[in-house]
Amino acid sequence: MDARTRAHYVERALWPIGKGDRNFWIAVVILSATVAAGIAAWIYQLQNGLWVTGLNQKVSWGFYIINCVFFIGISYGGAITSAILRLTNAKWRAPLTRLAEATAVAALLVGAVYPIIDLGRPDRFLNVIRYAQVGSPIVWDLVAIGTYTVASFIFLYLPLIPDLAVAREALGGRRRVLSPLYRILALGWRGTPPQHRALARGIGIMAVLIIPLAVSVHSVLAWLFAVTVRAEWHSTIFAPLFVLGAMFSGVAAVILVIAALRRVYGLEAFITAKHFRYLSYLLVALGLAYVYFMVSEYLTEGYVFAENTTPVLESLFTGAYAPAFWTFSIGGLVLPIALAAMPGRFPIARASIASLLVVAGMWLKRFLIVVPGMANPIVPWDWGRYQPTWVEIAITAGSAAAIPLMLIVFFRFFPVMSIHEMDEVEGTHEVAVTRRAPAFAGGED
Amino acid sequence: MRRPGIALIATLALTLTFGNVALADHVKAICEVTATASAKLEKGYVLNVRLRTADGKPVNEATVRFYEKVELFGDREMYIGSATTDGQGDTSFTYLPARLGTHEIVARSARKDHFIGSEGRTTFEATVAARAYRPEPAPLAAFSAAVPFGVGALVLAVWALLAFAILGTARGILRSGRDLAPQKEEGVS
Amino acid sequence: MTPGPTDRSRRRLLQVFTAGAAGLAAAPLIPIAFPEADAHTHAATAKRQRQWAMVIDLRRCDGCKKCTEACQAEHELPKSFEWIKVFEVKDKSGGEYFMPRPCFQCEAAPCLRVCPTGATFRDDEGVVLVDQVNRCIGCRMCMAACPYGARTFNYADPPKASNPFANPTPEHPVPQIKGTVGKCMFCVHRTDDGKLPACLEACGMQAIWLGDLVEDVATNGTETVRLSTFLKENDAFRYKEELGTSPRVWYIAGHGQHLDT
Repeated sequence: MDARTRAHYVERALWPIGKGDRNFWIAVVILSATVAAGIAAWIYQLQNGLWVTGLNQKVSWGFYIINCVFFIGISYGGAITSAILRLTNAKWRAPLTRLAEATAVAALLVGAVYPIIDLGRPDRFLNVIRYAQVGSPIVWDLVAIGTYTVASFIFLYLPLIPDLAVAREALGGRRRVLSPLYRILALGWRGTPPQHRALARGIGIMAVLIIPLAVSVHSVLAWLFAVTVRAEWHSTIFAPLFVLGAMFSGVAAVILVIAALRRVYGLEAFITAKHFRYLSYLLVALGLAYVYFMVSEYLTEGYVFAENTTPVLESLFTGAYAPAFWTFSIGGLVLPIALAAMPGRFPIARASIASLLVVAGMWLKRFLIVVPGMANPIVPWDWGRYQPTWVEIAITAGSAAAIPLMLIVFFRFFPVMSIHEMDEVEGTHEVAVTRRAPAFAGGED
Repeated sequence: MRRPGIALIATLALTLTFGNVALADHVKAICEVTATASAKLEKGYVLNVRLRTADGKPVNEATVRFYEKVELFGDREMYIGSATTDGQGDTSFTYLPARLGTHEIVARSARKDHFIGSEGRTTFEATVAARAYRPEPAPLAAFSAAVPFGVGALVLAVWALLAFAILGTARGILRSGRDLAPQKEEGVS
Repeated sequence: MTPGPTDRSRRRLLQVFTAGAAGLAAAPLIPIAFPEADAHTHAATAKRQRQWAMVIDLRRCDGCKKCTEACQAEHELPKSFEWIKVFEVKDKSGGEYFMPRPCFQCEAAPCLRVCPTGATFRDDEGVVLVDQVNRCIGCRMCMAACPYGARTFNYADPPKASNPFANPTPEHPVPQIKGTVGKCMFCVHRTDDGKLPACLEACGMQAIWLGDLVEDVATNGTETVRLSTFLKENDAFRYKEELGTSPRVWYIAGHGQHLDT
């Protein structure tokens, strides 16, 4: 294949490594400050106890559980964009997969911390393992999230192996510190046919496995709610609804990440309007499916007006939570689906705005699942109230900032595009076996 | 539970206590209680009451309340039911106790007209009792107990697959890299 | 088989999934399931096997909340902790009545089932207790699962304990421990000592009855009745029984009317 093209994408993929320009440091400082503020708020909460939050006896789950569901949902973008597109052999995925997989791991790490933040006694967290009760959805969560996290790391790492070999050879002389790291992590990759076969098998297993694992995580998160007898949670459609919502928000998050980072890392030549259009289609399909599931849920519950579900439906459609609900329904579903589905100009801008709306909307939807479900009176008392405090807001903001921070730091050390997969879709992997450092690397030494 | 034989229809251990001393203008009623096993044993024990004055006249239309001595945060008398005497001053109450063993019964007649109240006691040994309390069984208990094993096996299989995906791949890459390394060096140089 | 003295350490072994509930209850109940085998030793046993239950007579409750106050005093709880909470219920026909709600000690307790660490367990007298001392991690899954809102979370430190050397245990959780969940525990520390629960003793209307399902007897402190007969004759019901929780607390419907029984 065209060597110049390969040189181009290898150069682009490796370009951010070790680059500490001013913008990078400004971003790191701002994001780190936000994360630090979140951590400070958490420390404050650890010292004082959960009374510093807006949680109370009636609404005992709030921002933290919402965020846990939300961020783990975001991490689904990796599973979808990478695994499903890989299994369906969609070649256009190649420049996106690394970004999607890294986003998946970053969001997952953030989401997985939230159950611990939510604990009244985080110091006793290991009790969940020591005294694990197999009947408890919390234990299921631990198993599912733990497995999915390990799988996500493997899924990020395996396609990285050949890239690390490229980076090792391209940057070996230039980066004294990174060179040994690359050498170890690259596992002596030389691109021989048996190595390709081994890698293809590993990635194949992971691409198949990551999908049921991702499904299991959000199903279990949904069961956290659905196995209770609270009428508005106790719903058979909850698990698929959660899984679909996660995919929906995950694809939106991937669109946001690539929209932002393609400019930062100068990937415009590889991640083009075409990618945004395709991802928009995916977003639209998932969005419509989500609408369908939601309608199905509310119709079955609302048609009979059971005594225990009616108050929640009333509060959502016309009552206290109606503004939030309709904001979500219009702004988080109808509008972004319309924006993304429209043919025509500005596909990138439209996809980005739609994704922003979807991500925000899906957060709101999780709020509308958790809080009214909690606040709805299960015994003859008044509706619960929930007003988050600055602690919860600071922790939420800090955790949201942690994702881009982790991403830019990660891409400072690891290739931002999957060279291996680009090779694959461009058909250049035969050349890669004997190829030494690309021309540009030698020149910079 | 064995079906009762005729022999079981027998008077059980019996004690008699006479009522209080009559007040001047009132006639003392004597409450005599006996307990016998019911003809159908599973129905329990018949507490027979004979309410008479000292000279043997029946006291009719009198309410008799039955209590059993129990121990629950101290000694208490558990109300078990009541009955009204007939023209002969007789009445009965069928009682199926909750547990086996010795039961001490108190029967009390209320004050009625010019008869003052009185009480009688009896004890009996119960060889049959109401169906004992048992917690409501968990539905699908056997199935529920098996589920964790199935899911556990599935989780283990997933972890095995994960281990294979990472370790198997790493091994494949490392081995192939080692095997080819010398050849490559020669070939290139 | 001779039922031994109360042994609360045994139960932890038995808390495995829903089957645990059946197995758990079966162990101390062997003497009941096989009455013949037990007949000779039963009377001689010093401590009876109890299975506690409660009956609340709504005909008598006047909503004075003395039970709540007594409970808070007994367990040294803050005022916002109403382990026995008196609801003012308006029914569909416009009537009003008061409904005290303790923990229902459900036999198929949803809180027990969802607890990840076994901090929530059932003792051998059927009371659902919480191990705040070692186990509870404060995930509040049980609060989400309880359909009766019977659990409270210690967001802040409890009031200073009256006894500075107080050593909380699941059977006597005083003082409460911050970051863990607490609930009504039928005053097992009192019943173990042969005393009636604090709420029952405080109830001037004698609307609260504590009963033993094994011996089929219940008392409100002055009157003593046969539990099963009492429930049957008064059409007792269990709150939201349709949820399959099998509560150990029965209500006798009414609206605080005066009764001369």
